[in-house]
Amino acid sequence: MKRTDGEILSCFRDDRDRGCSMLFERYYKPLVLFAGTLFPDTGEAEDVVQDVFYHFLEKKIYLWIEAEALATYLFRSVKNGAMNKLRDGGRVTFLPLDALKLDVIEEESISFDPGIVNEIVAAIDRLPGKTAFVMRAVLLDRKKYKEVAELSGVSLNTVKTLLSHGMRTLREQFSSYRLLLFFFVRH
Amino acid sequence: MDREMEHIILAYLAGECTEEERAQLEAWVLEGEHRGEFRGVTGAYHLARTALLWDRINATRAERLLRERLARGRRRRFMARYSAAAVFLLAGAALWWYAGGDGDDRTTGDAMLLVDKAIPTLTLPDGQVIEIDSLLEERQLPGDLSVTWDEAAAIEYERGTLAGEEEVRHHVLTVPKGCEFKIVLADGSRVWLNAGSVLTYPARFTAASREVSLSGEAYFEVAPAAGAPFRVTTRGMELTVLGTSFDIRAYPDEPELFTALISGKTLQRFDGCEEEVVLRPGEGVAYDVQGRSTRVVKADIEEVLSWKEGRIIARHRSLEEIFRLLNKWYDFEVTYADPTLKDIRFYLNMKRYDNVQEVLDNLCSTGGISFSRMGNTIHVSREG
Repeated sequence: MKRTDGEILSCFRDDRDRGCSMLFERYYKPLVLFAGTLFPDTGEAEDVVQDVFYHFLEKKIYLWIEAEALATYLFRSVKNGAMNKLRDGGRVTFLPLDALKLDVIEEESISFDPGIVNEIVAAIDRLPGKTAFVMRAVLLDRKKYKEVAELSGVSLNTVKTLLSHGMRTLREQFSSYRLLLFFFVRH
Repeated sequence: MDREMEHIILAYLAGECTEEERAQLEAWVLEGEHRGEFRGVTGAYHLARTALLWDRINATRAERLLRERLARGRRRRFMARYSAAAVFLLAGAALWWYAGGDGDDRTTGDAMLLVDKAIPTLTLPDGQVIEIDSLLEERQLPGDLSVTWDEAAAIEYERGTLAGEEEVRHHVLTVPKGCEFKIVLADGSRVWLNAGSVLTYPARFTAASREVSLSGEAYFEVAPAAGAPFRVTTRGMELTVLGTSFDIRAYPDEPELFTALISGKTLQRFDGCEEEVVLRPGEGVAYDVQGRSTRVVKADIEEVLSWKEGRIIARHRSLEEIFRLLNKWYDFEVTYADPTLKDIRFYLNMKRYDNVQEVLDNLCSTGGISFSRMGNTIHVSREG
C-alpha cells in the first residue's frame, strides 16, 4: 500500500518512529535507485540517501515541510548530495543531457508504484532467453556490452539489438501503466 | 523512432556511448526537439532497472543503521549538555548509559538501545514546537505565559483562568517513548505523563469548564474547583470529575483502555456503552475498544502507578503485555518461535532503569522460556 506524503508527515508528528518507518518504506528504495544512476555501485547511493534521511530526522524537517514539497525536497537533497560527492571525488562531468535524464528519472521514481515490480520482472522473464539475459546483465548487473556479448556468445551489435528489442517490448506492455500514472499525476 | 538513435540512447543510459555518439544524441534531443522520445526510453529503462533491483536493496537494514546513528548523536549532545548538571530530566536514559559505560564491560553496541528521542516537546497554538529542554534556558513561553521549571522534570503554568471573552489556546505536550514528564496545569491540577503519551490542554481554562484530552497513559491529581468539572477525553471514553486522583491508560496501540481511581469519584462514559461508570477508590474499569464493553475490577494500585515511581511492576501479565510495557522504554523488536509463548504469564517487579538484559534473565529464571538476542531483536523460544 502506498502512503501519501500527507499521511507520512502526520504520522511523524504523532510518533517519530512510525513516521521514520513509513519514510523508509515509501522513499528509501526509489531514492537509492535514483542516486544509483549517478554512481557505479549502489553502496555510494545508499550512503547519500542515509545522509539525507539523517538530516531530515535530526533537523526535524518533518515538522514544517509541506506534504506537497516532500518528494521534491527528498529528491533534490539526494541529487545535491550525490553531486557534491561526485565533485569531491573529481568525477563530475555533468552535461545538459544528464540534467534532462535526471529529471525524467526523478519523475519516474516519485510516481513508481512498488506493486508493479513483480509484473515487470515477470514480463522480462517472458522475453526470449537471450533478450532476458541481456536485459538483466546490462540493467541489473551493469555489465559492459562487450562482456555481455562474450558471456552470451553473440556479437556486440546483437547485444544492442536484443537490448532495444527487450526495451521496446516492455514499453509496449507497460504503456497502459504509464498512461495510468500520467493520469494520476495530472488529477 | 530511428533504430540507430534508440541504440544510442540505450548506450548512453548504460554508460556505453562514445563522445561522438553523446554529442550526436545531445543535438538530436535538445536541438532536434526529440525530448519526448528521449523521455520515453529513459523512463522505461529506469522502470525496468528499478523493478530488477527492487528486492536487492535492504531498506530494513538502512533504517536500523539510521536509528543507531541518531541515537549516537543524541547521546553525545545529551551528555555534553547534562553531565555536569546532575541529571534530572531523562535521568533514566543517562543513568542507563553511565551504568553501561562503567558497570559492566558490555559494549554500547551490544547493549539494548534506549529509544533515541527522549525529549518531550510542547506544541503551541501557532504550530511552533519547542523542545522542553530548551525551556530550561528560556524559562519563558512565547506569548504571555510564564512557566516554571523544576528539577523533577516538570513545567508549571502560572495559575489563573481566562476572562470572559478571551480565547482558549491549546497546548500539546508530547512525551515520547523513553521518558516521562510531569506538568502542573493553570488550575493547579497535576498530571504525570508516561512514556509515549500526548496531552492536549488549554494554557488557561475558562472559569466554567476544564477539558483536556489524552492519548497514552497519565496519572491525574485534579485540583478541586467549584463549578468547573474536570473532563478528560480519550479514544472511546470521556471521564468527568470534580477533584480526585486517577490513572488513565489509553495507548492507541493497545486493545484495552484502563482507568484506576485512587481517590475521589469519577463519572465515565464510553463509546458504544449506554451505562455510565462510577468508580470507587481502589476500583478500575477496563474498556475493550473493539468490543465496546466495560468491566469493573479491583485495581492493583501499586501495579498501576509503578511507572510513576520509576518501576515496572507486572503481576500475572502475559509476555506480550510485558514486552509492550518495556517497549515504551527500550528500543527492540520481539519475535516468537511459537505464538502461544505470548500468553505465558509472569510476575515482574523491577526498577525501570535496570539493564533490559537483567529483565530477560529474570524472566528466564522464572522458567519455561529462553531468549536470544540479535542486535535489537529479541527472539523468544521454549527452553531446552
